[in-house]
Amino acid sequence: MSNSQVQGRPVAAELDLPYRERAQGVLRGALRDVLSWRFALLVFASLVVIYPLLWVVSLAFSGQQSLQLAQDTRDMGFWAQMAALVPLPEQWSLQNFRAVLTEQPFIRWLLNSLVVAGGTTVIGLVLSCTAAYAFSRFRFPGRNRGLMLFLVSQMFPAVLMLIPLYVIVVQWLGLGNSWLGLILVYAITALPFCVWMLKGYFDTLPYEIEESALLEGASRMTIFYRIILPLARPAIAVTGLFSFMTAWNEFILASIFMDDESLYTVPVGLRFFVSDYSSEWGYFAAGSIMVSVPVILLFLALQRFLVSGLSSGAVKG
Amino acid sequence: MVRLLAPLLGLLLGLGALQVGAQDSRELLLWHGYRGAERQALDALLEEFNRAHPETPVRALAVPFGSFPDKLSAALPRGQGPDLFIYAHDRIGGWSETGHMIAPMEALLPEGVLERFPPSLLDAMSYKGRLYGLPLNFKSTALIYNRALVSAPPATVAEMIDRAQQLTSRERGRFGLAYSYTEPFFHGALMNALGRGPFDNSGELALDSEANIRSLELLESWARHDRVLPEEPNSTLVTNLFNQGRAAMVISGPWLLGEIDPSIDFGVAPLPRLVGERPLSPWIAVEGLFLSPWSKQQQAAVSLMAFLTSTASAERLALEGGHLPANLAAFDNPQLASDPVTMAFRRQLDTAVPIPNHPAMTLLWKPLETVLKKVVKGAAQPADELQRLQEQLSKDLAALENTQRRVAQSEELPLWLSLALLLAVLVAVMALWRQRETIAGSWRQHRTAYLYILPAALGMLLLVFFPLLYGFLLSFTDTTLLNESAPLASRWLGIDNYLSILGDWNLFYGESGQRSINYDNFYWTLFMTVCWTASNVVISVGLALLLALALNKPIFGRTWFRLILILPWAIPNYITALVWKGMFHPQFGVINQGLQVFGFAPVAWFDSVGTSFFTGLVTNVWLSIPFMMVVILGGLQAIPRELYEAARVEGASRWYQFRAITLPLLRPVLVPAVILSVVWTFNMFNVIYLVSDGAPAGANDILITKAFRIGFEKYQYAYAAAYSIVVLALLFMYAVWQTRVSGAFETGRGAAR
Repeated sequence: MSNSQVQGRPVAAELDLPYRERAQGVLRGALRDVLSWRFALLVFASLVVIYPLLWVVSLAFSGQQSLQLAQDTRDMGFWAQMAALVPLPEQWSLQNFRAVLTEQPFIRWLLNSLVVAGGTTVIGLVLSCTAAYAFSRFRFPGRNRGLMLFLVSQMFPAVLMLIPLYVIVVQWLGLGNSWLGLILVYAITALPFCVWMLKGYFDTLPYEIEESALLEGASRMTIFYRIILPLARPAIAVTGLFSFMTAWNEFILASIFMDDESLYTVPVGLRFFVSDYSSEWGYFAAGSIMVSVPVILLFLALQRFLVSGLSSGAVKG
Repeated sequence: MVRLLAPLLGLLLGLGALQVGAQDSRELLLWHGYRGAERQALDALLEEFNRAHPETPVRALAVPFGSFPDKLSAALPRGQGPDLFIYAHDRIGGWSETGHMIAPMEALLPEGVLERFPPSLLDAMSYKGRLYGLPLNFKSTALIYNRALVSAPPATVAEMIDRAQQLTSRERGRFGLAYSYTEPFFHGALMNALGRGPFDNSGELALDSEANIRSLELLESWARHDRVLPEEPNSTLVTNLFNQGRAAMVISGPWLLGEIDPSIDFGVAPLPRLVGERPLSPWIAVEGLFLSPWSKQQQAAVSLMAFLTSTASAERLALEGGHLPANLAAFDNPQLASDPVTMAFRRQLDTAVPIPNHPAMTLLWKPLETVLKKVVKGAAQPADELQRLQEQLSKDLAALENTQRRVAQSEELPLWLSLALLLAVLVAVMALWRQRETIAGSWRQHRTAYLYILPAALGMLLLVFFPLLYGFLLSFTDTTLLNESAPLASRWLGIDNYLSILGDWNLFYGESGQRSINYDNFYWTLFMTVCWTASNVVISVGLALLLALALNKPIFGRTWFRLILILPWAIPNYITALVWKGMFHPQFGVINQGLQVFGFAPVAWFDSVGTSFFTGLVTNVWLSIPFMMVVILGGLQAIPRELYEAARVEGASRWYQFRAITLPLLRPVLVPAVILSVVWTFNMFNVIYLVSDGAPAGANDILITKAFRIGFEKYQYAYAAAYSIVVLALLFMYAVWQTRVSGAFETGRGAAR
């Protein structure tokens, strides 16, 4: 990918220019951006992403439990027909959100979920960073087999693991009805991806820095902690987000392990709205939107690690 | 590092210990699946009970519908779980055959309690002559009609269809009659009216009986000849149509009442009569109170049951929770007796039939639904299709019952097998012993590396490989629902499961004139799974790479784009997958509506293999791009920008830079991401299950959904485990090949030797 875009944009030197010219430069840059193929691609992709979500949003804010069906539009003009394709509730209402928050201890469950997902992220990252470092930096008997075994663990369907996991966690470890049991299971589930991803990223880090540190007498632990981890921040952000999400949306294990409603996580709470006979999709949609807010905030907090590099000198970003 | 971790782990352990806390042993634990008003009514009653019986306080736990059966079957056979629970009656047969799930309870009942219930509901709670629970309430369907369109409920089916035809205008999307007619629960009304339902007098499966064939023909004529029914119905669609006045009559249950739009003036009546025959007789599901065989306070649990089914409690549950109480005396309550809606459902009970609680019934739902879907689309003849289903289900049933019989003979673990196991252990120990020097040496030499990996490895061993071993052993048995609790030795089978999976060469069925592909065949499913995986991974990795590259450099509004593009990952995919399914609905979906705006013909998305495949593909790509994009964005950060600057100075083109710099340097991150996404997509259960659900007729099932159906719809647990092991073996071979080709095992540059 070329950096012609970077060349054409206002660089740091321009900051010394008078305000007006600087503003013009920014405007020119924005205009050039808007007319580029990248921008067109991103706009198109965003529309495709947003459209199905609009249905969820409009269901959540409709105050009803099922969406209005598409209207009968055969007699309308082209644009009216197109407009009819955009899902909008007949009237906006916060009723669904209010109902979800009052009928259930939703906030409490959301906090439970944060604890479980947070714990999963921490334990998952600690276990996977150390293991990935060893896989990336050492050569030892059983290394390839070990890496392969991590992969194998992802190949067996989760539904069939339910009973044995129940036996181990609840009966053997006595961790039923506790968050620790859930956290351990989630962290281990997320581990293979985290190890492989981090190992791949560690592989790209230059070895020379470590070598000189070793020569100066630094221990492996110091190098790992002081040099490798800070350099690998983008990969750690990605794997952390992944571990978090593994725990965040899981509902079967969470509802099987917990025997106390005050310990449920929020996906369990959401599933109360879906049953065989009738489902409160409006509540479910409203709850889903509230559940996704912490994820979005987390992503916002992490995204600066995902976009350092090339853009570090730019004004915007 | 250690300093940092120790307090953290301590904190977590402390949290765990706090929560486990001692449980009051006198407590009665009750599990139920209620929420909303129903739950409040129950909670109020339980409080009342607790005041009267402080010695055995009741603690209730609500469990979501989606995980309730799993939770019960994980806990109860292992002596855990509640003292009593509320659940639908149709699993009694299976539970009673499994053992350790529910306890017969007639001996514990106080005098006179049984007289509260009508015999049909008590029958529903009994299996092989034993009473396994007390009926609490019943759920029946009836005819709900819009008074503005239908002034009086039709008395006969002919009248109903006549009226429906006058009110149907397909172009306007208006229908005379709407109900989930492809669901066997609803179709039961027709089967029960014309004959005896799926089983004959002696309780044998008789799906291909004259009456059942006629019931399908009748439905086919409503759907294809009279054309009064909407396409591809589901409960949400039915509710919607009724609320908008676009369905004049619907067949639904009391659960619909709370969702009817206040502007609709509706009436409820029992289902009409077939001319010269019985009235349409819907199936009812009875919710019952069940007793755990492990409860230490069975007597107290039964008193609670007696309390909850008393007339006073039943009235309260009916008035506040919307129950149709099984204790019929409650209907004499003046408030209930004067409510025409409630009394219409009460009258419907007189002709309704409880769902058979035979274990075979649970095998029937899904395949019968597939048959119904095919018949109403004209893709199959009722008689042929039912005969085929009868044959297939008889075979499945015989297989199930065989396993039970085998256990009854109670074989010993074959001697050669125990010897072989012993030998294997000996060989392993000896091999380890002979290698002890090497192992010890390599431990000493590489201690740092092993120590770094140890915690992760221990966790994996306990929580992944032990369950996997369990699955592996299970696959060599003939474990099913019926012999689950028998000792392993008596279930041992050997490699038969694998032979029958891999040796399944029935690629086609039918005569040579009109042969069709057998979609249940392993190799067809494997073929579909490979197509599914390859197309998904190629498309989503390609698009994600494109988007990540577009986002990697500054652009106007970049933060917003990035945020929008990860949204599909952030919103629970359960609802977005269902939104996609709704968008692909042939009659009411926006995609077809959009096609029509642009002058194209609408597509019946779930009718052919290709289009149905496409629906799953689109949904899954949409769901998986954000994750892949984030991974690639992370990987792009590792590429030093100087390389690009140098390349530009040399005058390299963009494409060349991409090929020579971006792609190779992205590889260490991309390769594991691709391998893992192949593994995940291969086993992507949710999207297939929620969107196309294998339509048409299981052609779009992938191996994992098929394994699920074998395990949880046919209850052949061992066969499903063998299926899963085959999946694992296939993926393992792929992973070995892929890691070889891509060199994923390479260490970082200049790794320690």
